[in-house]
Amino acid sequence: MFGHSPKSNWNDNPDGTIRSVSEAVEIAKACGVDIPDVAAFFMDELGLLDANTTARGPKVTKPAGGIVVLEDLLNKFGQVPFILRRDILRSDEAIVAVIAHEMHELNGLIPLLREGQLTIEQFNGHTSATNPGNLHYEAWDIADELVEEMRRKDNDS
Amino acid sequence: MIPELVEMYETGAVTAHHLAAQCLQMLDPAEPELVLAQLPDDILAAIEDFADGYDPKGMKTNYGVIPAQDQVIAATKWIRKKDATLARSN
Repeated sequence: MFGHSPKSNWNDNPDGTIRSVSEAVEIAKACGVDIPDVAAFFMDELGLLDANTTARGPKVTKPAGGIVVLEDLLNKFGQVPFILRRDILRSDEAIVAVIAHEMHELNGLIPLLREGQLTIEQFNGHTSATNPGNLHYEAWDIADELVEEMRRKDNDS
Repeated sequence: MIPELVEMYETGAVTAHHLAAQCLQMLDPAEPELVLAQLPDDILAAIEDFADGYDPKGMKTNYGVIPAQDQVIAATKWIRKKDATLARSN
């Protein structure tokens, strides 16, 4: 096990439905995930994400002590791109959990990035899987809560 | 693989900075053209930006491999040589 991870085992959609990326974004929004306009989502067409990585934002590389700003995360269209692992799209629970996780980290980082004083070490500290209490840890806790809420609603209906 | 990564950049799935770092760490310093000749000019410019900020004493990244100094130097030399050749031909 490598650091903090979700507690829930996500169930595939019972009818076998595989969502598109745009459907996934709408499902996440409908479940209360706050997706800023600057975020954009793409499927991992090349299989770049390994079995331990459900999604990934932009790679950032800086000299030690270098400042990370929002522009470092933007693609050519001015968006922060996130790649989703293909199998996530088989499960609405996974979709909500993974997008909620990534958006909690992004929404937490945006004001810090805009201040222009966030070092690469601090940036990594917020998203590290081995730094208890950081944005990454909070993000999986929130993801777990949203999946539990989805299950409660399914049981009630 | 390089054309597919460039396609990801063109669709917005990766940033120029991300692709520049990824291409640099794939590059053979003895034959940089195998990677670099497949890249559009804006990614070559991003590689030059990356090289300008490169500190051989210590680089940090949020994930993945950090390009080695010899890869960065080989890429910079190749791009400058290409630019010089283009300038002479114009």
